[in-house]
Amino acid sequence: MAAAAAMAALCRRLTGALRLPAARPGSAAAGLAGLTLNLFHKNLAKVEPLHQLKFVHTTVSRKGLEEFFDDPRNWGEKTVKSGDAWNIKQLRGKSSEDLHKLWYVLLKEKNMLLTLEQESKRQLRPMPSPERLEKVEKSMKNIDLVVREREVALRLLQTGHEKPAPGEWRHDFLGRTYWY
Amino acid sequence: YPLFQLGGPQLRIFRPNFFMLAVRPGVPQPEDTVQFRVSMEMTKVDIRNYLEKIYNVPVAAVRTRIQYGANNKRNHKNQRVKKPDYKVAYVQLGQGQTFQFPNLFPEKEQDTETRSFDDFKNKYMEREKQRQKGDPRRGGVPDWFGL
Repeated sequence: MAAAAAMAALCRRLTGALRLPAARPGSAAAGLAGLTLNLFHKNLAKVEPLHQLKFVHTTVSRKGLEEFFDDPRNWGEKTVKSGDAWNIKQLRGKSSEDLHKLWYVLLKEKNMLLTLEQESKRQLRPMPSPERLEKVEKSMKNIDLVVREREVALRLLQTGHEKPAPGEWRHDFLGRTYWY
Repeated sequence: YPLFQLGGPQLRIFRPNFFMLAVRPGVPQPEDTVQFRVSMEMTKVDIRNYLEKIYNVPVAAVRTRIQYGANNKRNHKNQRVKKPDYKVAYVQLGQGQTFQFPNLFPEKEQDTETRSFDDFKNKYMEREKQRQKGDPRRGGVPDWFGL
C-alpha cells in the first residue's frame, strides 16, 4: 500500500512530461487494449485554461469516489462497448512502470465493474456487458505472469536460482510427492 | 500477511489484488458514510491506505465487520449450498465530504426500433387473445358445454 504513493508521484511527473492532445471522448473503456499512455487525459481536459499558461500545469486524478462508477453517460444502457483484453505479447513490450500503472487502472476498472454487478443484483436488473469483468481479470493475470517472468529472469541473472526460496520435491511415508 | 519483526522492513504490496466495491446501504447511513464490500484479508489500515493512495479520497474513520453467508439453502442433491462470506467496511469521509449512492439504472428513452418492436409485440398478443376467446354471443361460456 505504501508503494502506491511512489506510483502516484511517478504519475504526477509523467503527466507533466506528456503533452497530450485534446480529450478523446470515444475511449470509454479505460485500461483495455487500444489505450496507450493517455491514461489521465480525461483529467487534464478538466483543467480550466488560465489566461497566461506560462508554466506546466499538472493534475493528478481529481475524481475520488466517482471512480467506483462508470461514466454517467453509460448508466442505464443495455450494452457498453469495450475493447479486447490485454495479450501477453502486447504486455511484454511495455516497460515495468507502464505495467505498474496499468495494473492500478485495471484494478479500479474491476472495482467499478464489481460495484455495477452488485447494484444490478440489488435492483434486479441485468448487468450491462458482464464480459468486461472476464477481460479485466484475464488482463490482470497476464500482467502478473509477465512481471513474474521478468523477476525470474532478473533473479537468474543475479543469483543463478529461479526461485526466491530453496526447495525440493519430497515423498511422504505414503509415497505422495510434495514440494518442501 | 508475513509477520513483522522489530527493525524489519515495512511490508509493501506492489500490485495489490484486493478488490473493493461500493454498495448501496440497506440501512440508511449518515451523510458522510460510504459502505464497501472488501476482500476478507483487508484490515482497517489497509482500507484507509487503499482509498487514500489509489482513489485519492480523504478518510476519517473505518469500521469493519465480517458478514457470514448462510449455509442452509439446499440444491437438487440435498447438499447444503453456502453463500460466500464477505467483509463490510463503513468508511467515514474526511474534510466534510458527503456521498449519496447514485441511481445506476435511470430510465432512458427507447429508440424508434425498440418502440416499434414493443408495439408489434403488443398487437400480436392482443390478436392471440382474441383468437383464444370463443364466440362472443355465448357470453364467456366455454364451447364444450352442450348446445
